[in-house]
Amino acid sequence: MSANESFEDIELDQWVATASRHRADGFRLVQMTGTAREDHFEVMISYDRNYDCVNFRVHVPRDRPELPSLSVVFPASFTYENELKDLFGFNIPGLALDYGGNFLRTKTKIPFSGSVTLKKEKPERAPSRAAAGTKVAPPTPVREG
Amino acid sequence: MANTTIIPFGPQHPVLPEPIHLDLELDDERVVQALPSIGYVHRGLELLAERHDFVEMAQVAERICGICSFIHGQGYCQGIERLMGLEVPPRAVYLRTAWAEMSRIQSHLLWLGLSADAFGFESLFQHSWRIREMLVDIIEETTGGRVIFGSCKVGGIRKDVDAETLQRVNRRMREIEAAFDEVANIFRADRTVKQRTVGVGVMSAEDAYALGAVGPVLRASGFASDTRQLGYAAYGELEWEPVVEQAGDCYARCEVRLREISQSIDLIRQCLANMPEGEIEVTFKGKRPKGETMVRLEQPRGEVCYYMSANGQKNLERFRVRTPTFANIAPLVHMLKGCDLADVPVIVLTIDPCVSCTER
Repeated sequence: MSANESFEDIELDQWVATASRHRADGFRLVQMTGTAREDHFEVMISYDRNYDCVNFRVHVPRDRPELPSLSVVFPASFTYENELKDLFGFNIPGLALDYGGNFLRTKTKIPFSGSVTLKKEKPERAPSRAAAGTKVAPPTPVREG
Repeated sequence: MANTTIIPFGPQHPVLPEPIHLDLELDDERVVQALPSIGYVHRGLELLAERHDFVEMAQVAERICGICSFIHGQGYCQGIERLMGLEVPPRAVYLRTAWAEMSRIQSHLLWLGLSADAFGFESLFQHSWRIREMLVDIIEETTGGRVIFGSCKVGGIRKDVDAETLQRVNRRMREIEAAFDEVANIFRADRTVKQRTVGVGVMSAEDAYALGAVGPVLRASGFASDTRQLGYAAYGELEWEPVVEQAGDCYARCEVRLREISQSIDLIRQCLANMPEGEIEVTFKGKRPKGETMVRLEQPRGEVCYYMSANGQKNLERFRVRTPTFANIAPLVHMLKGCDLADVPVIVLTIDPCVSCTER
């Protein structure tokens, strides 16, 4: 973390108020992103003013992935919010321009939901000669998130 | 009330080198609203970071884009180095800076060529790319790669450049500068270029800032914001100022890129003149990244952000890339409102859309 960078956890009900306060203080919206944790989603937002970047994080429950839209405060937030919707399956009430899950045309729907099975990587070591010809059990699918 | 017509623009279009789709709602020949959509080449690279070793992921990061490839690799490595508390040797830092500026020049020259082609100025397109080829040859000579440099690694750089080669680069930068000045004069003075760009796609400084515009799009509207001012790599030790124009139209965005090419040539010269001697990498055997960081760099198209979160394992927990084109989508929608249908390709081009970056 650099000197001009901070991360702060805030409550979900402070999400819009924090955005409004930063907009009023002359900050611009830098980015918004999600992270799928084991028992919740993390959404991080970054604001910048004069190269000082501040980052705020909210925890969103997995069973109710809902985040109020910041469209009224930062009109440009619609791209990030549609991305959250498409990649993490969020419901964004108040979204000014809602693509209905079609902004990012991903092959796998909601790839960052935390329940996507990825292809198993190749084993690190080649099987020994002795093992050649023996039947190998298929790799176990890995559950991410 | 007039009836509106919806015209699909892209994903395949003569001025679009990469796929992006716009639904243009038209009233006669005037655009009332533009609805963008992306995702045609989504590759899931962010999810891939959760699977790959953090060292080898540097190779993947560089392949996020074929134009700003080096800076993606640089940003990724800077983030990992910050998480591990690594101090990169000064020589590696200066060489990284020089290559990043070469990357900026070749990207801007590529854009100038594409935009000249979009204006219908075929010979200007060819001359822009001829100069770009001269620069790509230098990149190949110093890194071994033309598109993917492959020279950036966690802890430093992969190979050094000897003094003789650096002198040769310095001489050839003069040749490139002379050739570029001729082409730049045409962009600045030619009537056809001006007719297609002056007063087209105007965006005020307030709108650009409020809509989160970055890079030449923001600076062409009079806002002096350039992430290199953070002083990462060697930028804090070099003399330069952000290039700013005031008009906020397509011509101003073109002018910003023209001036940035000259500035990048100057920055490369400064790097070569002040190149420190010494090691090119620092070792980190047994160390693994831990913690979280947000790294911001200036790509040719504007500010790029990398959020990295690691827990001491060999994989990152989260690697998020916010590319400049993604940030410039909302400003693009704003610029397209009220423009003529014939101006749509030029306006779209002047944000220099890089869709493969955006899709990740």
